[in-house]
Amino acid sequence: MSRVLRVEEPLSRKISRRVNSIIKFSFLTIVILLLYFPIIVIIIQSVNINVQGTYFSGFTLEWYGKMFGDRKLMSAIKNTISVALLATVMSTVLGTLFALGINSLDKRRRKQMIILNNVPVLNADVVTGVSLFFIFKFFGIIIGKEFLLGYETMLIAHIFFCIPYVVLSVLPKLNEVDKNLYDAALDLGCTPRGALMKVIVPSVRTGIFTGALLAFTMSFDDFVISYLVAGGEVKNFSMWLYASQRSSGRTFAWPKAYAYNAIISIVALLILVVYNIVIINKQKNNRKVRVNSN
Amino acid sequence: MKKFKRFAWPYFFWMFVFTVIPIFLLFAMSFIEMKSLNFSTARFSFSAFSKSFNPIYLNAFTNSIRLALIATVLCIIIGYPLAYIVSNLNITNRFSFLLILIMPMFTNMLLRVNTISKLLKPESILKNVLGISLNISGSEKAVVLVMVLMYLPFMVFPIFTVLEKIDPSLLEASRDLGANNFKTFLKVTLPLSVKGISSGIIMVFLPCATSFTIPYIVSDGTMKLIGNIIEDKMGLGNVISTDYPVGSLLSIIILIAVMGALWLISKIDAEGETLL
Repeated sequence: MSRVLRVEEPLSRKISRRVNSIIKFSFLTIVILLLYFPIIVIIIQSVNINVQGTYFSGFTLEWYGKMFGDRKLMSAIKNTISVALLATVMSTVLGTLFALGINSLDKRRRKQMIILNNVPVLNADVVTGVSLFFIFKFFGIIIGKEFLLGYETMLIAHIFFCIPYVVLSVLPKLNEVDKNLYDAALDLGCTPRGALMKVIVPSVRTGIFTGALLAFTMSFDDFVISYLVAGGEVKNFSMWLYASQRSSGRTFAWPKAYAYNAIISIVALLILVVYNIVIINKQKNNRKVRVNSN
Repeated sequence: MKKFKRFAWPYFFWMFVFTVIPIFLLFAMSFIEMKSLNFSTARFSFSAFSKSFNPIYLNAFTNSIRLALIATVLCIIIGYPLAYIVSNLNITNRFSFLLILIMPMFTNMLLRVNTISKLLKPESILKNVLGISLNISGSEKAVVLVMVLMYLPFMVFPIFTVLEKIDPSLLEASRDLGANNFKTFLKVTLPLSVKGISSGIIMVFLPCATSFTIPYIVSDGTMKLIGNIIEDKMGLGNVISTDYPVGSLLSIIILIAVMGALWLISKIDAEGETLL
């Protein structure tokens, strides 16, 4: 135990520190409130009787029932969720493998591949969407199918723009992995696949997890690219919403959209809270273990 | 680990098909003239170029750049202090802070844009409940406000990433050598966060300048930024304005800007760590 010399702080510095922390704290609160403000309004609107949403005329759960009754909306929601899940799984697996590939390249090639990888990350959604639209159109012309655009092209497009995020989050972790670990595993009798699954993947799992989360977020929220490559028939939630924005007569669509998003936000919030509780408990346990071992 | 090289080739092929070929396609498309997407009527022409020198398009370009610039500057002004404060907080888990910022993105962006733009109308639920009427609906102010609210997290993430990586002993050294807090910030922290700020600028400016949903929803379709024009030309809005060559040419112009951003990123952050 080292003894710390404590010097009494002058009062003026104490006050300025207090003021400083109050300013910091209120700034943080205001910005986070601003970011969450639309979500709060969406939750309020989802239980508002007023269809236009200009007045709060009373509490109702009617919209939640109507939401499950709307077949077009439900199919859009189903598309959104299934595309997001499939794209997340596919892009996480492929992105991890591709990151392994990029990691084993020599320096120059590696740099080139990273630049190529960053194209979809930086490119404007409109341009990415238009590019994919043309590729699918041309491919359709080549194989002789005029109307290729649909669910499959939307899924491929989502996998395409999700992979770079997985690669970017796995690569730095792969960089930290000891190059000899893999060889050691092979020497100890692992098959190449066993060494990959039991040694490499566990040591980069935080990167894989971050990548998967980003991929899911991107896919789940995407509008522009889906809109350009899915043709007119298949719709995800964003496309459904945009269509109802364009046809002005469909104000009745809005409360259902609010209801759906209120559910999503509340589920996401719950996951966030549970995750934090788990983390805090883990840290407490770790501390206990450390104290016991001392 | 060398044998994992074989995983790099399929990725190269995949990226070649979906990014490199389309760039050539867009480039080729801007030199032809045709009716909708009927390639039998296609012929070589510079008509896309002459059509693109339309004052409406030039105006859309300058407006897009101006509004996106304002939004980006506001994002730096709000985002840098935010990232700085949080990186100095004593939270043990940086991931939960990132989650707090990611969380709003799970709520559909179009719906969030719509909700905000409805609040900006003279008659809104804000006026009904709190008695505030903002009444800036459809204006450029409204578009910028929505851009900032939507893209602020993309400014905070990269700045936060670089601030997290600054070695605390550097700051201690600076203080030991006699610099006060402000000078330490100016001479140590700020130069070390340039990488994050540049990534943040790119990650906010490009999507803001090319967004077509935000201006469309906020202005009810009256404001035309460059993204809206490309959308029109690509035949999704209505059939009459469809003109693939012009749309391709405008996309190529955006792509040139993106290439510049790619080059910049490859200089300042070769591993792309600040792009997440």
